[in-house]
Amino acid sequence: MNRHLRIYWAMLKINFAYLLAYRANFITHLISAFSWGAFRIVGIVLLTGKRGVVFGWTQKDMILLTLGFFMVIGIFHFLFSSNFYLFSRVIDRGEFDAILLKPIDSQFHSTMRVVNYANFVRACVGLILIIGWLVMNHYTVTFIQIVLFSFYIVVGIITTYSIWLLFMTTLIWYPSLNNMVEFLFTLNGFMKYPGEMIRFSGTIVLYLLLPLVLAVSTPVKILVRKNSLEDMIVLSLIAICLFIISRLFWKYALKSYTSAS
Amino acid sequence: MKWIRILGLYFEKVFEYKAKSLLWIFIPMANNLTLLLFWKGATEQMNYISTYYILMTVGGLFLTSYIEDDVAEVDIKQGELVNYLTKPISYYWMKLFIEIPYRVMQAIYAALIIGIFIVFFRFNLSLVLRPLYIPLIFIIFTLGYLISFTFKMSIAYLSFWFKDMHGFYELTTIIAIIFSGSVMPLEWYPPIMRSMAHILPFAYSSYYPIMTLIKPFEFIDFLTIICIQSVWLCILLVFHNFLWKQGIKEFTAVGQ
Repeated sequence: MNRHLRIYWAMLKINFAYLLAYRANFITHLISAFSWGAFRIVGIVLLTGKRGVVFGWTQKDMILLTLGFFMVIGIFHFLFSSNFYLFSRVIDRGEFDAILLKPIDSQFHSTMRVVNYANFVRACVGLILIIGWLVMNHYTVTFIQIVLFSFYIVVGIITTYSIWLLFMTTLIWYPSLNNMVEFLFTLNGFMKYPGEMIRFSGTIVLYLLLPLVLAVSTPVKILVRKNSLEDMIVLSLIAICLFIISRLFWKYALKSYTSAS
Repeated sequence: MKWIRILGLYFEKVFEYKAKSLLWIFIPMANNLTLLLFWKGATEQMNYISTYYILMTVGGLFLTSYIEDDVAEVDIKQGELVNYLTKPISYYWMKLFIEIPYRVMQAIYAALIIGIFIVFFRFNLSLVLRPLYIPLIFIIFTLGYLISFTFKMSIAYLSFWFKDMHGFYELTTIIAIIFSGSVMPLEWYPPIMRSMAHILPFAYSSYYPIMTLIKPFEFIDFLTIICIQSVWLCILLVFHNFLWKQGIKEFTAVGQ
């Protein structure tokens, strides 16, 4: 564990050096991240403008949910998504060999070696906006709620990571599907809506999307004092199961990797 | 004949990566499914809104061009443009004929998938389609696609001058999503945003073409839409030609 942490620290430093070398790239990523963030907020204001309450969530709650999404997705993109973005190219060009030959865990190296600092800024801004929104709208938040909120943010990110890993692992068999990551970005869009949306639909197939929907709505529900115990239990179980399944699937897929593009 | 052959060749290419093509279709489908589920909670004119998002999915796949990345990243930055410059064919038309097969096939795939869903869930589409106006609708759809294509080509040409346009493309995509009515029907927007949407070209590229299938427009409405679309297309073509003439001077065969 210590060894992996040391390696990760070294990777963070390498990525920071990369950021300093390509500053314009950092700025364009920043513009992109904030543009999408602003769009999400404008979008939810437009959608909730016509109806005040949707699925028991008021417009204020829905904006808080969007801000929660802004922060969670910022953390996720900061830590993982750039790696997934590179993954299809790594597989397609046979560069995966170099990863497998290194004396560290291949999943760790494939999914955590690149960080996107622009999204770290996004996550921080997201947190500030959440605090600002809570204060502006007189939400009363206790210490326990803050602890649970933080914990379930981590659980939500683990869930999202596991789902992405499950999908991206299939690229070992189908490397030409380099738009898989675009599809996953779209699926992430479900995270900014409440879990009730899936339950209300009454369609069993859509329950497959429940893990993603709960990833952000559960921690936000904790903040707005909605009854969230059921969601907390469900999300915890889903996170554990998906993490184990995605890990096993990764190990299984590695056996099918044929190298050389 | 030359163009038909080019078109045929690229239709063949579409079938080269079937799974990839299918995945592109699921992206707007997932987006619109989210919105559809959301409106189900708001219980807002479900039949109208469902028809709207279903047509937005299929129409969006046909009407929205995604050529900018290919032009900016591959042709201009990596220098692939040189392959087109040495051919006695206009670059604009060549790219148009390359993209059309993708748009047509993806729209057909999406229509088939959604069609299965409609039959499965016994859902009624509330369409207003009068046979007399079909030629006008065809013109509106063609102009809508050309507006989107010319706009995307124009912004892609900015790569002749700038190294990384990633953030700018994202920004234009977001503006296009908002003002093309992809979030919800424009008549539900606040008045200021609605007015802006009616002025900007984005609504004329997908919103109005879709609306011709939903709203009972009269002949004069069709003509008005065609006139505004033509004006926007002319403006964009002038802008496109200007950028192309200036940008090509910056191009060096080895890339940017």
